[in-house]
Amino acid sequence: MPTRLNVSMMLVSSLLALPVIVVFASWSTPQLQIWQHLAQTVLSDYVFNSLILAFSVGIGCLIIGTTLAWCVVKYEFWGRRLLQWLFILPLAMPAYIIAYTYTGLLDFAGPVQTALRDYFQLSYGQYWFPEIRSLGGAVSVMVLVLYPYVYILARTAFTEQSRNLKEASGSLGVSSFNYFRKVAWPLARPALLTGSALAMMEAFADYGTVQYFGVSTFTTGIFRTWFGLDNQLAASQLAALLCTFVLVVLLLEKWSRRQIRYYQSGQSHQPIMRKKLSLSRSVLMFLLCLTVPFFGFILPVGQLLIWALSYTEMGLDSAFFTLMWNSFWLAAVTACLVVLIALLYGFAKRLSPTPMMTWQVQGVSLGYAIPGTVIAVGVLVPLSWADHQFNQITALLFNLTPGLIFSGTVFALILAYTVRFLAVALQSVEAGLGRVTPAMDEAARCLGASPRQVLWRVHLPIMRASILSAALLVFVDVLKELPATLILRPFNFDTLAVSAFQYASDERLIDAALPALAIVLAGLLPVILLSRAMDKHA
Amino acid sequence: MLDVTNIDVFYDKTQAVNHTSLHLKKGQIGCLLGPSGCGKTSILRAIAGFEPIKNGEITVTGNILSSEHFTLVPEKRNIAVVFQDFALFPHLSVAQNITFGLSHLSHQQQRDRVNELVELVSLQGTEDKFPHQLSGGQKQRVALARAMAPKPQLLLMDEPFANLDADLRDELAKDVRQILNHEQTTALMVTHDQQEAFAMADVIGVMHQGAIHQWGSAYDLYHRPATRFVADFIGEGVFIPAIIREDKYLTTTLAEFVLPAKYNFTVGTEVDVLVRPDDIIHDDMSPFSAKVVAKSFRGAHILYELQLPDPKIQKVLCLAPSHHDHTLGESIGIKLDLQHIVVFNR
Repeated sequence: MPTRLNVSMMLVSSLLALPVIVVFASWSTPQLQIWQHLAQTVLSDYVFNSLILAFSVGIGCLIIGTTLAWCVVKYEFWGRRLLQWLFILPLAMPAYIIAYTYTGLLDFAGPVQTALRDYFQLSYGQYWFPEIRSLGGAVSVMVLVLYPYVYILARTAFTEQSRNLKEASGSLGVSSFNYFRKVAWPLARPALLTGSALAMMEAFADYGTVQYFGVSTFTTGIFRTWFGLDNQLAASQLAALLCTFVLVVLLLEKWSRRQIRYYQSGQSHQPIMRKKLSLSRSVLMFLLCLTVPFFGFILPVGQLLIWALSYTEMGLDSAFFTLMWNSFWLAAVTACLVVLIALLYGFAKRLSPTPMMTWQVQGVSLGYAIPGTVIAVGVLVPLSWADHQFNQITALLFNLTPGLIFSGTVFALILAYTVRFLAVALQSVEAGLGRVTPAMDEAARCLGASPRQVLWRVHLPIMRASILSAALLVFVDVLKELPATLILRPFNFDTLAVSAFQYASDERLIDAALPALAIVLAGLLPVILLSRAMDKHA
Repeated sequence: MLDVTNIDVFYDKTQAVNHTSLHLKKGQIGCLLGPSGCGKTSILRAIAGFEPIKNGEITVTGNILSSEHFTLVPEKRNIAVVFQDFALFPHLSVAQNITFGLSHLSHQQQRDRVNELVELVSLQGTEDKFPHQLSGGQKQRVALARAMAPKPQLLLMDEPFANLDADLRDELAKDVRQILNHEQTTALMVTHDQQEAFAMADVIGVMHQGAIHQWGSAYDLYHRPATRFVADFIGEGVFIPAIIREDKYLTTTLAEFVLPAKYNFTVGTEVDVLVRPDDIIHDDMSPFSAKVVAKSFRGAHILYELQLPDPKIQKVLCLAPSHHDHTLGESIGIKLDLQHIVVFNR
């Protein structure tokens, strides 16, 4: 029985690993001509822009996320609780959507420049204004929505630092600033760097923002090589290169934590002592902190609302409901499937905790780090091949050509989403399964429950919350996902994300507002879930 | 009632239990006592049906539950287990935890049994609480009630008091014993704590390296240890050297004794005699004296560690009434008064 389980899990794992293997295998047929062309023209841009983008975003998120976390953990001021909640809202905002809103706000015809011109009586070309559609602009908007990765981990890390540490440092004559530098920062460093690495991986993976801002990076390069130069192999090879960059970040992050297993000795659950600020400082602190979620969430959502409510010509018509329905069922089906597979892995690892199984779980968990563009390329290449073979066989046998039944249907999309988001569900499911101790299984068994009854009466009820949150997280991630959806969606099949992207690309930002707003609102659900979980933790 | 005969238990290739047997009569409370890793929990798990056995057999009232090629699934055994971490179901209330194994009964019967058990384990008023709202002692009581609910033919307890405070432990041990007697349940527990074993069990098996060294009452284990390990593990004591003389006489530095008839040593053999702290009596008139090298106050008694003049004997222990307060370095007169003569090969 366990061997049958192991074999089936191996099959699932191989299918999930296929896209990445295909992408890397593309190097077995080097496309020298194309690479020569790329090297002479755009390759240095791809590398340079991608690296600058990722590292700037990583550092920006590190600074902003750590500062905000330090403020809410160490100081008591008016509005702190509200801010704690506001700080994680930008998670609901995909980078490409915030990019559209800021373009609408800040470009030549936008309200900001118009107001400046009116006020100073200036006309075009008479003044300098920073160009939002640039590398700097891309870094700025991404930092605004990705800093919560660092903030969340930093807040947990600072909260867990025992009060005794602060008191011990004080008694040794360490000032507040030196306490941060010598104690709090080194203790929290592994968590902060993990958050920063996550932000960097998101930056590497981004397609919507850089494409819209006209910044050439690996992701836009992959699209251009695939659809512009029509060279799938070279596109796969670019994807492999991008993948390597991301894996290097992942390894660096692991390396940075190599021997750091700091833990807090003893069980100190004293409430955190926050320094109380005077009223004037309190208000100042609140306003300063508020700027980040204001620009990262409140302002862009306000802009989207204004566009959606007063300007859009599209309205809530049947076309929009088709979009909603497409997105909804695709996300729902994927969420169910991904959670089922995650449960399968969770139970397989529990029933047969071999090194092989652990290795497989870690392997398929890597999917979250692989950019959507890379996965899409890796899915499309083998599925097109499979379709081709299948059609040849059916043509030969039945004189039938059923068409692109793998690569041209939602099958390809769902496979890509599964590869990318399985880790999200796995994490949740494993946490839930961890709450069912082996002794609980045995207790249920000796109280007369068969293994199947143990599953229904013990495991599933205890894991219900984890399963639901896993499904919700995957649901929203699928809703937000752009590049893989763009590449793999069946002909004439639009989702909210795709339609927002297309309207924006056609310079119809106002029409993009409604689908964008729908994505942001759906994205709020897991954020609320997360904030409740964090409050419970603290 | 429970017969475990010559069983072997393996984890992969490591042997945890080696050809071990034990027998319990109906209503008896047995205990497996030993240091961690001695295989005691493995025996329990084999009886519960969580681990297969490689040799021998396990029967309850004559029915085979496990043999070399057969392991009856745990849910068909009607054997209940109380786990070290209690393993209460966190999503179920106290009453629902207790009724978990009663799904074959009607609602009314389930309610009656819950009421009966809740009263028995003194948990009235907590029926609707959830495990995370209970104290450690209460969790233990729920775990016991849940295990007893289906009226199991045998109750197994794995270190049932290990997660509790010392005060609570004694109180609960007494209660549990009473409850088991009241329900006429046969039980087998596992512990590394001899006080716990003494407080709970009718028969105790001392285990070491996968084998039971001795299966007997607490009195026997203390005063008539069958092996050197048991003598060492149970209670305190030291071995002093002795020589077998003619006519079955035994000579030590402190006294001479008649060797009990059960021993069969040849004349001239060098042996060790077990001396418990209560075998050494403080006697100022005694010709033997020893120097106090350490002492620990135990309320009614003081345990002295004494150095004898004979360098061959390291030290002996003496449990003296605590009125006799001697300082370190002082020499006191002692007398050896062995009620039970326990001798081992050197």
